[in-house]
Amino acid sequence: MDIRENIISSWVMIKRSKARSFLTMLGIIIGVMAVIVVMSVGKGAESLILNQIKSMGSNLVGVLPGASEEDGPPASAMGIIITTLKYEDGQAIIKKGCDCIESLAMYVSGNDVINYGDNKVSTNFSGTTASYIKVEETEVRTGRFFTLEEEKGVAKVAVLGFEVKEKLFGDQDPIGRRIKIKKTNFLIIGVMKERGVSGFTNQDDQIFVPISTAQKLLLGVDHISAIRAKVDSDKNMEKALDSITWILRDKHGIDFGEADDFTARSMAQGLEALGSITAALRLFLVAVSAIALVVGGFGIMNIMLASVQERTREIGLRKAVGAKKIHISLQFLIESSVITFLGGIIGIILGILISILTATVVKSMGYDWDLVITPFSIILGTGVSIGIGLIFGIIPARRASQLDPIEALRYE
Amino acid sequence: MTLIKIKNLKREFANDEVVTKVLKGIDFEIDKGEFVSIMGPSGSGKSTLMHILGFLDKLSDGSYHFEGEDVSKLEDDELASMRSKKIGFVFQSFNLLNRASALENVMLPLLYSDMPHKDRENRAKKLLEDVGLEHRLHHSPNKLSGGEKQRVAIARALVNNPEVVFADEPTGNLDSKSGLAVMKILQDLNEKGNTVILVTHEKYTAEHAKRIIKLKDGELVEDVEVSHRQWANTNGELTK
Repeated sequence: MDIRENIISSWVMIKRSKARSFLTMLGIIIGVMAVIVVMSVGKGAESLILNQIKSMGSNLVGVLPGASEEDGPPASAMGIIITTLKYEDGQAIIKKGCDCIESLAMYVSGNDVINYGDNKVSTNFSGTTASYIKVEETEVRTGRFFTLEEEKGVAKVAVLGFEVKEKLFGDQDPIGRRIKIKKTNFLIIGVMKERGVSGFTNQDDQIFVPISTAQKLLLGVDHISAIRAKVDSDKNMEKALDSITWILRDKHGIDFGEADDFTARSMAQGLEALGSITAALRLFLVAVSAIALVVGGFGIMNIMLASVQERTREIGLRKAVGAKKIHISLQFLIESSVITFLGGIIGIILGILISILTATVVKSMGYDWDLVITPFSIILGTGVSIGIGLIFGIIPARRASQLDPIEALRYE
Repeated sequence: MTLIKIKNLKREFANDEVVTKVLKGIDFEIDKGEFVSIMGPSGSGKSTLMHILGFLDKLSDGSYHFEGEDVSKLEDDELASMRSKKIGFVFQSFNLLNRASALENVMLPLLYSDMPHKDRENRAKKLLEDVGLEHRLHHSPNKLSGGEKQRVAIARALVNNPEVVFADEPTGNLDSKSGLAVMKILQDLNEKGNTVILVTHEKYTAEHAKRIIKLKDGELVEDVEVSHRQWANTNGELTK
């Protein structure tokens, strides 16, 4: 008895009734497609988060003003302005912090309309320190970033994000020209290279000015909104956090037993929290596709039972010419598996197409999304579809093999 | 040489509380190379007898020896194996698979044998040539005439080189000319040494055989040699 011949004859059966075979397969197609998409999108989301962490550096420590719950965000992250964090805090960390802290940048931000002649754009401005380039591991495309002297000396200089430059100047070289923010003229000294979305912020739609300038001339405040510190290695993250925590507690005069008035965390921790959300979502979607596959399986069983009934005489004949029970069982099992296998293949192809589409759309939105279709998900999809054919084919195949040859031959 | 030997063969069908005795104790022997008609009106038990002799059904009591071996108590799959190796069937309603070609229909029994794939096709082609259908190899059965269909069915019955060919009313669905052509093939087979067992209710058809076993109400009523045998030729005409 030849399995190959059975597969060929099943193929002939499927080709003869295309519409019915397709409807039979539909549940399997949808289920397998969902599995492929869920796995690919899951991997893509994972890569998105990892890329965000990587783009910011996995060895970054962030400090925000205001206390926070164990895992929750501090109030300052929700837009409430807390003024307890100062420029001097950052300087204290640079001075007294552990050697593992390589560099440290401080930030204060706002947004306003920026004018260049008649051109206007509304954008975010970041007041930051000269060390920004080092901490964020970026560089200027043209010109230069501002210096430590400019950072401290309230210099009226600005570095443009790439998109802002495109909007205000187009193809012109902006270096040496002046823009106006809040009636103050700024000399453009550089343009940042393109960075895309990092830390879920579009880094190209910003302009950078010295932090003292932003505080005094643009915002009129003396606090800062964040500190970021770059640690020399992943292993020293805890050490760096401890060192920062003790320096800030000491500087803010917080007594033993009292809570911090700031939140210091590694950037990776923050983003990993997002990862756990996508994992939960993925589990839910896998459960949905599993249900689709089971429903598809019952569809197959139903059609196969009808097919056994329709082909009773054929089964009788096959038995009369010498087919054993196992031959008949095998014939129907192979037939149901061929149907589900084909459904699986179609599902895999559709799943891959949808995954590609998703990746294309997300990428076009500026996110760094890897298109990942693992061989495992394809093998899983194929295996599951054949498995469903075998499992849900058992009852119809058994029924066929148990038919009495004489009665089957007489069946009208 | 004795091919088939049945002794006190009984077959009963139990349905709820009613027991129907279809065969009530039949004895006979059939030798290799015989051409026997089992004849009787409907309800006489001739089909049931053929099913038991052809390993499609089991007996309730008595004994059945085939080629000297007791085959009274075989299980389903052992019966299937006997059918595969020893038996060929020709049915009144042909029982061909319409979605397969004539050639594939003839090859079907070999699917359940040990014959290598390439030999199967050659064997099936040879048999279709023998029944004069070499020009119809790739036709679907529903494009064949009744007589052609039955010839395909005969080729299928012979493809596994069986010990016995059972023909159950093989001419029942055919016009008289095609029917005679089929009888001619069966007679030729027998002349070449094959054992043929024909089941029919028609005296005229039964007389193509050498011997007639008559059944009535599940009992053997007559077992005689045919004195005036009917002969058919390929054109569907009586010759003697």
